[in-house]
Amino acid sequence: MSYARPSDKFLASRGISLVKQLTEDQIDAIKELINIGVGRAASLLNEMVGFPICLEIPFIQVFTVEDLQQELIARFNSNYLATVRLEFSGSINGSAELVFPTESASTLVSILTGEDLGSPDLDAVKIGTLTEVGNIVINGVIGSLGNLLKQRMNYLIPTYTEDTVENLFAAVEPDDSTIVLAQASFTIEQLQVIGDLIFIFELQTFDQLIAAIEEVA
Amino acid sequence: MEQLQQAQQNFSILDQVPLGACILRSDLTILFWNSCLEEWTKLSRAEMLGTCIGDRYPHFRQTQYANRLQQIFQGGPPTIFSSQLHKHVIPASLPQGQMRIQHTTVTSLPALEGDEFYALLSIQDVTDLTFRVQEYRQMRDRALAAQETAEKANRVKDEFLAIVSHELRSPLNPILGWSRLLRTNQLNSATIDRALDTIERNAKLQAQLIEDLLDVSRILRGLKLNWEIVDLANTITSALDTVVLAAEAKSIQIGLSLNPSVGLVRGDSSRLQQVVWNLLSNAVKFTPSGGQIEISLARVGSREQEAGSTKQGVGSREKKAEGAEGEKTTLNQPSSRSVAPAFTVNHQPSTNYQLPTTNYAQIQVSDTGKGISADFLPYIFEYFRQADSSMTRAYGGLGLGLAIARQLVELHGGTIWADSHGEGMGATFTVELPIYEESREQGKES
Repeated sequence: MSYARPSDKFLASRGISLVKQLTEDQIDAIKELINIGVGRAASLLNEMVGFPICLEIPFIQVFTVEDLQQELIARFNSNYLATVRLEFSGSINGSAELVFPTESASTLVSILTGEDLGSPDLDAVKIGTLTEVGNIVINGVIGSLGNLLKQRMNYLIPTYTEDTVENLFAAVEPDDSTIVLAQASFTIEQLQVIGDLIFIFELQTFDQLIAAIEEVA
Repeated sequence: MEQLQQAQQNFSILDQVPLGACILRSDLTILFWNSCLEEWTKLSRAEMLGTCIGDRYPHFRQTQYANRLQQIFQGGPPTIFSSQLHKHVIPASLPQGQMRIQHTTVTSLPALEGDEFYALLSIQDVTDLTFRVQEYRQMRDRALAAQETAEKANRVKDEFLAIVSHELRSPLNPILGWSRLLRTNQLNSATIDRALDTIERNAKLQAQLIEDLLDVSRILRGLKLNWEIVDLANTITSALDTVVLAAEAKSIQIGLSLNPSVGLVRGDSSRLQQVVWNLLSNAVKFTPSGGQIEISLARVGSREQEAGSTKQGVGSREKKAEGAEGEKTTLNQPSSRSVAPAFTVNHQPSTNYQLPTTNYAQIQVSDTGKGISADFLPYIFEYFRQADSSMTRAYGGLGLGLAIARQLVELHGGTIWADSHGEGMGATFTVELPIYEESREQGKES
């Protein structure tokens, strides 16, 4: 798997015309933003569980919803994924999702709670924990985004879902007005826990994000 | 004060929800405390409103809470404190005394004045859910374990059937083969003798196999013993007679040390002989040519009596003696009483430790054979078990001898266990049977 940023040519070949507007510097700025947020989340988790957790974002990619769906299907087949989703509106509309293969999710819960893994299924109690962890990671990133935009955003309550890739994105209308800005894979070192951070932004408000990023880039 | 009153009016709807609800100002002052929380904590809103929640619950000032609340007070996204990672955000107990397990969601609310934000804590009581989940997990684990045991038992039985058929068939081949050759009438007398020997030996072998199988089924149905007074020294020598030839054939030396004053126990003499025979024939079977087997009969008492004794036990080798006192695996042995060295107990001064129930006749059979791996040691006395199926092919037999021995020993109120330092390190089997009362009296007089 290449960690390189997708080339403009690659993006153009997929008809992501607007993404072309993103320069290398802008993508770096987004990456920076997400990394800061994830770093905050990691230090918070460290404090909570009392041992070092390292969250890494090895790469960030930009996709259309359809392409992202294809990518995730290729990676996870029709396996069940556990996701924590936070929907937001305001100067930017969209949602942030933390996506785990269910086994990764269950391993993560066991590590955090010090409980025996037992069976890898997720029950109501484990789901509560996973929702909190997802919430911490997403809030880290969304928090730095909110600071950056300096505008009040509205948030819904975080939700937990377990479903296949196809169904997880069923609610997202794959039309021109929607774009996935970043798919950031993260790993917890030595623990073999892999997850994806996915941000879905609505297109008409994308300009504002770029403008805000331009300011820091 | 005005802010507090305003909060009561604005948020009174939170008294209608079945969740604990509490509203905090950024300085951690409690602005609202709903009736559900009043009931859970037994703290009235009169006591709580206007006070700092950090004064009552200091963990709110810990960085991991403070940092996340900070984001809320700035209008940030909702924060969750899950039950597994934070059991009691606002400690509250159930009527039965146990603490309520809570799942808390904190959302930011625009402040009633200014552009600040308040934190609204919505607390869900998930005690019942948590216990139900635990119950469900336990039930599921038990069901899985039961299923595994059943499957394993089935596998063992299948394997056993395969072994039985194989073992019953193998003696038939030489019997049939030699019978056919005998019919040809073309054999010289030496070959005829050999043929008859072979037929006889294999017929006996098969008879023994069938006898074992019948024993198992008798024992499983509840065996009746012919109770009498048995002299174990005789039992051992008679059992020895039947294996001496087999041992000689493999050049195995058998060492015997009998304490003649021990012998008498209550039991069924033929069954006890069967126990000793099983242990001896096992030892012969699993000891390579040129090896050594030791049998001893001794009297053992309580642990206190054994302590301080330095004499070596039955094991001729240093290692085995260590093993007997050190890391020994004991089966059906209620206490960790170590093995008493032979010929020592009678020399012990008679003390008040000598309780009537602590005197046992101890038979030990140790060998220099292939030993028992630590993995298999716990199962060695189970029915239908041999260390692995390939062992059956290499050594023959049904793997019933030890299971039968254990059942018989237990029917006599005794215990049996095995020690081994592992594969290739030999093994020691120990049987202890309660000494017959009168024999102890006689023992003292003599």
